[in-house]
Amino acid sequence: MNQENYPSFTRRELLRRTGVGFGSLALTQLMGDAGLLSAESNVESSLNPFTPRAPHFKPTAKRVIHLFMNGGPSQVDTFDPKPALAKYADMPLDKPNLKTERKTGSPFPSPFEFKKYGQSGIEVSDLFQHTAKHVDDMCIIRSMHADVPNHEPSLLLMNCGEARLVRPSMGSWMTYGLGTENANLPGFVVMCPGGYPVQDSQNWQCGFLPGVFQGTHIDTQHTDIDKLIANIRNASLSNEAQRRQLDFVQTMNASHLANRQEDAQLESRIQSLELAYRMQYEAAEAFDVNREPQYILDRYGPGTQARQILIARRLIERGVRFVQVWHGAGQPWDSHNEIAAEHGRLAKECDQAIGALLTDLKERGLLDETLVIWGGEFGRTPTVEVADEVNKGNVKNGRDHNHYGFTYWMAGGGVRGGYVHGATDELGFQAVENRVHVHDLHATILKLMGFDHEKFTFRYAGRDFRLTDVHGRVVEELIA
Amino acid sequence: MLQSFAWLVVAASVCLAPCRSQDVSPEAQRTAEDHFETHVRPVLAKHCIECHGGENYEAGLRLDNHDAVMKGGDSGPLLVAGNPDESRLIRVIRYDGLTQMPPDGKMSDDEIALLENWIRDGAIWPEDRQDTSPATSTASPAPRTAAEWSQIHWAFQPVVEPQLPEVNDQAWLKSPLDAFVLHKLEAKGLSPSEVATRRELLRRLSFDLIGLPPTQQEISDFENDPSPDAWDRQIERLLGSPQYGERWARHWLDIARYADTKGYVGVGEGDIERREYPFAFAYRDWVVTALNDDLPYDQFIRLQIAADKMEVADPKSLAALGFFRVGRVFLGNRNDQIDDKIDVMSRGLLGLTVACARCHDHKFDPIPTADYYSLFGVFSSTQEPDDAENKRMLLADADNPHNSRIFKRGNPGTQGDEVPRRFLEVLSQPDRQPFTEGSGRLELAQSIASSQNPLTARVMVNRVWAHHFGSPLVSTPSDFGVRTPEPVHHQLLDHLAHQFMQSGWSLKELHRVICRSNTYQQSSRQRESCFLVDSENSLYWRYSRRRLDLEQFRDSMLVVSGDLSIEMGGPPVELTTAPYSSRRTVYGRIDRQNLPGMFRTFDFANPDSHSPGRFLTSVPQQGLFVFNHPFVIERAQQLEKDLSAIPAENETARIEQLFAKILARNPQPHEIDMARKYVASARENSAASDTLNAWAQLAQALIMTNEFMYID
Repeated sequence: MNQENYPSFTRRELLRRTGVGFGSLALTQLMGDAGLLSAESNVESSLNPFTPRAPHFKPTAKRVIHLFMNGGPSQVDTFDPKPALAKYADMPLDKPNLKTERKTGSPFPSPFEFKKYGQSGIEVSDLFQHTAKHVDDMCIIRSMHADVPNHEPSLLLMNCGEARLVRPSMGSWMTYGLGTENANLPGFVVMCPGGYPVQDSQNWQCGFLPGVFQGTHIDTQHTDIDKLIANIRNASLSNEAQRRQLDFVQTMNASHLANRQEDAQLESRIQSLELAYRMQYEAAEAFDVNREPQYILDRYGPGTQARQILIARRLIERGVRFVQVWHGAGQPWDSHNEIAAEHGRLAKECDQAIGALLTDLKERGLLDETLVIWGGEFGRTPTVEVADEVNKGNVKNGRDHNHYGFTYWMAGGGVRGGYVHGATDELGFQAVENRVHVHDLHATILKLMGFDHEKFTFRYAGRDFRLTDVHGRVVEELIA
Repeated sequence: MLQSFAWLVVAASVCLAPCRSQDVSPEAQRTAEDHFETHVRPVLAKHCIECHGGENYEAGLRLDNHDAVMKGGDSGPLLVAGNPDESRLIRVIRYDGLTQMPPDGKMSDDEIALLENWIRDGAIWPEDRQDTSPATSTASPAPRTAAEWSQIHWAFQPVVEPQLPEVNDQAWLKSPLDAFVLHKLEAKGLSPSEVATRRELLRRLSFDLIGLPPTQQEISDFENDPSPDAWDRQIERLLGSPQYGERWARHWLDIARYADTKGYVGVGEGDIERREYPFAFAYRDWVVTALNDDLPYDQFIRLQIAADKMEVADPKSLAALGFFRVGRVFLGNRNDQIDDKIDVMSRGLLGLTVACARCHDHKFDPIPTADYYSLFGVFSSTQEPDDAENKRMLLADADNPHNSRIFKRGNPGTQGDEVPRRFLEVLSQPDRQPFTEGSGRLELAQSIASSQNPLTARVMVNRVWAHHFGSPLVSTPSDFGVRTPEPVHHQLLDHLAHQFMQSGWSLKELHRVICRSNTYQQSSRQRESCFLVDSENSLYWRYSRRRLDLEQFRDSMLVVSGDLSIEMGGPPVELTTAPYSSRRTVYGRIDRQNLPGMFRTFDFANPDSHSPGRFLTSVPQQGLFVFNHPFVIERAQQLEKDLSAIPAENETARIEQLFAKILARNPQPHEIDMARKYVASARENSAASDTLNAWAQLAQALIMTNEFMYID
């Protein structure tokens, strides 16, 4: 080819302009429409959907760790102290109990003790005593509310911003909008030991976004890397043999490409084979907590929760965009019965590791740019669950689902530390002050990540869709 | 229990008549109206409308329209404009008195202040438009009725054969199609590319029509065929192959959001059976057969919508009804299931996004909510029995076909007017009549599968074109609505659509027309002069090179290792666990809830809803698959095993055999040299742990190449 005749026909231009198939091209256009592509990133984005991209404005958070307490942790036993529960214990409420999934009775005082922590003096229960040491870095939202007291719609609302229909999850939106900083690892990693939570993979679905933006589920009950990531290890060849093989392939590819002149998609695949080769080692390394020094392992403590929360830190450190850590398969925090024992056990499994995570991120200078989010799909009733035709006679000292009021907390990534936002009523049943709906939480998280939630859209089926749909307002008070 | 809370409100309120306030300037009035729509109405919608809205409002009070608010409720007037303290609305939301609203929790202070300020500023509330009028955007061109749109929008005009355009290079034309393409190229000063090589052509055609690569023998036969109809005979050979139906069925199954499972069915799903559609495959097999038989596309559609109401010669045709049965179950929510059916039908067959109208008149397209519930009535008058004996999922009319009422804002709790079961207004004649035969499904089918329908043929030829060329003529294949501008190749589209209907809706004839054209036979080589003018190849000055999709890739590997099964049809097979199936990928089990990683990694269409087109990405997980997946390793080992007939010392012959099987060609001398060196090095440096010998490694390497993975 005689390039001299075409002075403007530069390699960069070629990369930028070359059609890379209906799909990727459309994707690039859509990203451009949503204001996600700077001129610079446009070049690369047409080749790889994971290339890092700049959001609408300068973000304070670049990465997210979402600690998902699935099943619904009780706010009045963790981060929202309600001494009035003891005062009214065993007395009927003066108005009918708010309607939740099952029948509940009198106020049920928390079996856990609350203490003040940090300079801010915010009260936290003994369940999260390690986490509580970081309370001055935490922004505690005590006035969360959602729409219905059922797991399925509430999980989808929390994860995807829509309770029933097929919509992309928050992590998919983030990786779609921002790409990832480490192309050797998936951009959106979902860890859940023992299988899937309720609603399965819909919690990290990509909806109408391209399939590559769906969360990569890792079953962290395994410790073996082969079981953690599909096809990550070559069982039949040594590293050296595989490198030799790939060298042969790339020589073939180079002459194939030369015969066809320049073609961005062919080059892109050549690159992606190299990335895949490196990923085999990078991912194996990232998920192997045994490479941590003993004092770090001790800091996080024993058990699956500690391991997966430590993996979350290792992934974030390596530039993974969105890491979601589920407590376990099914709905572990759903303590309809024996909440003292159940919540006690569950918190013991993760509290030390969450505290260690915050310590660790801070020590490494990562907390500033990493948004840590803690919470479930809803909270629990301050009133005791009672037996009726649904829950038969088995009920004892537990709490029902409660979407009227519950607690979320966030730390790092530009949130306002040592701050309590909003309040539930005297008993902790419903949010009454400065209420924050799930859509508002999403709008605020997107703001921290650099997005205007009303402009961060994807055109699908004739409409521009957003994570917050037609709702949501940024809660500025949560931002430092 | 799961409740259905659907009260999408804000998007509904877009088109406004002038406000009643008389003593404000038009500008101030518009600002106030905007303020109301942007801030005030959403607060009312969020907190009040669920109980005080729609037809079944509580306490005689409605907060969703102007007149009702001005009238007040059972307790008297609601607002005193200019005086929030005197306004009953403000007292109750402040929780000042006995009545405290909303009952499930006080509004935020900001929201209360917002409403106070709004009343202080005069409580400007724009008058409502009528529910039945079509919607447009606030930045209006004047609102248009469906009847007006049907006169204006290009895609709603009848399909007529356009005049053949003038071109300079008459010699290039092989078909009328070429004239439309060449005309646009010449207008831009571009020229078409030379004809591709016969090797490139046959590989392209074979992947396009049957989804499989040609063998080396097939390529050389074609290369050595001097007869003038050599190309046409290749087209006929492939269209006549039963593997044609298997390939094109998969394209249709993307449209039909096919899966073998129901999606999430709730907690405690220990038993597989609750999640399974045991007879979904009968629908898939029917599609394969129908396409192989070249069933006319209009009949293909009619059977899928209403086979139970038609006189069908072959009872197997009833399996066509699976089209509406293979969607998600949405935890048993009937309204969501019907929504899914309306969506797959309207986007899939008509290229219209009707599902938007579930909660409000379509924001852009002339699809009023009433139309949505006209279709809703058809499906709510339809039952869903299974025919277990013949393993089919069916539809049947309910005993008491009934109209639906409009669900205001999609909320079944607030029902509006009853609407007759009938077809979409924008696609109907002015004298639109209600459906009268049972549910109305057959009449619906006839309205869609009609040569009078301006969308059906256009939408389908656009899809077929996209599969042949890698990019569609209309860039949004499932949205031909009013926001989709007239495509550059509108005339070409209409020519193909017209020809398609004239041919008796024959898909195979459509393939012939396309594949015989010179446009289709162009080389994919880069040409700078054209590239600088049309970098996206939207005018088709060359053929667009592209990656194999999941099915082409997996099936190709089975072909080259000599393992591909030719067995057709039957229950789905598990593809991603050992022992690995040698069936074609189209027969793989699609579990929409737990779609295996292989499917996602290679950009399989999301089976949760209708898919307008697949993305084609290049991500490292695809590399991991081809490096390490045992299915790929097995193929390499099989190829190595077949070398055993050739003595080990005859390395050239072995290399030639691998190139012939995998790349369907002879190696170049320098490639033989390179391969020999690689095999020698692999053998010498072999580690004790390597379980793949040097020849198998070479076989796997050839499968990894771009040459294997891309179609020129």
